[in-house]
Amino acid sequence: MPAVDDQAAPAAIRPRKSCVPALASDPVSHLSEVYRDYPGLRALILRRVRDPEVAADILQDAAVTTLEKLRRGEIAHPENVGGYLYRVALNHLRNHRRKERTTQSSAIGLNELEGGGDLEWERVGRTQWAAAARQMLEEMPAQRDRELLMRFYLKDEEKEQICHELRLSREHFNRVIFRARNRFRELLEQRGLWKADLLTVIAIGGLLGAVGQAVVKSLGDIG
Amino acid sequence: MIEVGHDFERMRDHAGGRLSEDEHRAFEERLLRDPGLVHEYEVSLRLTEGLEQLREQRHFLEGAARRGLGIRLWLPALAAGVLAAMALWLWVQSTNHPVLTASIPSHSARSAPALAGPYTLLALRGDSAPPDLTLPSVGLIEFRAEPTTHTQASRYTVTLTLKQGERPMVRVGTLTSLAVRPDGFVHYYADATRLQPGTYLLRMESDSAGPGSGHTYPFNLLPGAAP
Repeated sequence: MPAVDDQAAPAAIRPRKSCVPALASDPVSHLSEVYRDYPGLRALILRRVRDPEVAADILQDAAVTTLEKLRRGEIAHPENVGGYLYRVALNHLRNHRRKERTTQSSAIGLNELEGGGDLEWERVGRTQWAAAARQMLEEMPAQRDRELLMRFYLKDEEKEQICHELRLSREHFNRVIFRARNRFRELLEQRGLWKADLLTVIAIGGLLGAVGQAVVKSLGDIG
Repeated sequence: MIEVGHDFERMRDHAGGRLSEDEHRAFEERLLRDPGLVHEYEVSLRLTEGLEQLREQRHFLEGAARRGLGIRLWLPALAAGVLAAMALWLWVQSTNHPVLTASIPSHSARSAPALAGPYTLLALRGDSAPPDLTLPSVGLIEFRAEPTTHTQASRYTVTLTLKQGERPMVRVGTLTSLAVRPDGFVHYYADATRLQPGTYLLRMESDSAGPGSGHTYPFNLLPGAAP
């Protein structure tokens, strides 16, 4: 008799409609959405370059490039502008790191991030993510599941190794990760931090004004 | 559409820069095509950063420390309890004479042992504080306990146990086939040198009615003055 595991994670996840940002009517709004909706990307770049100014430059260049491509109709799937932004930003990041290898200028940036870079992390939203992660962990009933998360996301241990040492099936592993991520996302949504990171919006507000005007002007010139 | 399990690792490894150049390229191609994957990748990045922040705040270490502190607190107490119980058990077992006897031992009778009591144990209705009894340094303590009125058995078993706070109770001694004496009480004697101050429970059960049929009499033994 077949058993039904209603607790199991699905084998695949279809994107929810709400996760696809709606297209805004003007480039400034687009740029605003980019900063607002992808703070994870911003955090990734910041962690890689360890310099808030360089990270901001990379993301800004990527956003401008993305918007220009969007305006020219060169993005095949405009509904996935986020994917394109990721691609461009990661390309810019790679280019930056190639240059960095030749100039060896990262030491100063690392010091800046570790010492005075806390504000930048706050702008990204990291403090709020930590609060949500803490609540998620506290809600997890099993210490073993908390250990699984820590080993997977912080110690970068292999799934097979974790399953073996914690005596878990792969299905159980997937379930724990799946539920933890969903709960984390729910908590961010409840706190209003999923779509709009207020701190981020405030922090970039001034920047957007100037950059947006420049973009509009350059796009107008192109048109 | 993302593949649960496999993509969790892909996303983590991409963020950590652990994919090969080809794998990186393939993953980023998928980002271009799949808004759901972009969304899930955002979750991964934010979750990782949140956990990283907790680690920097020593959240995990504090948790471990709290658990460690708990272990540090209760483990020695448990060890001490086990050692105390073992010591008491060995002490009880190592002597030739039982702690409890149904009558005054003959050799003790010849030497006229000091006899404390008798202490009468009665089953009372409602909650009442255990009586405080004096523990002499030598001799015997005579106890007599009144059988509960509803039992008609003529033979009883008494079991004396020592309470040790939160630690497991230690059985001190057991007597079986005790008869009710003409005064209506079951009498027994405890060797004072084999007891220690503390709270004790005396359980008296009818041999015929079996376990669960009896009554428990609590009492405290307080150290008495040296003779």
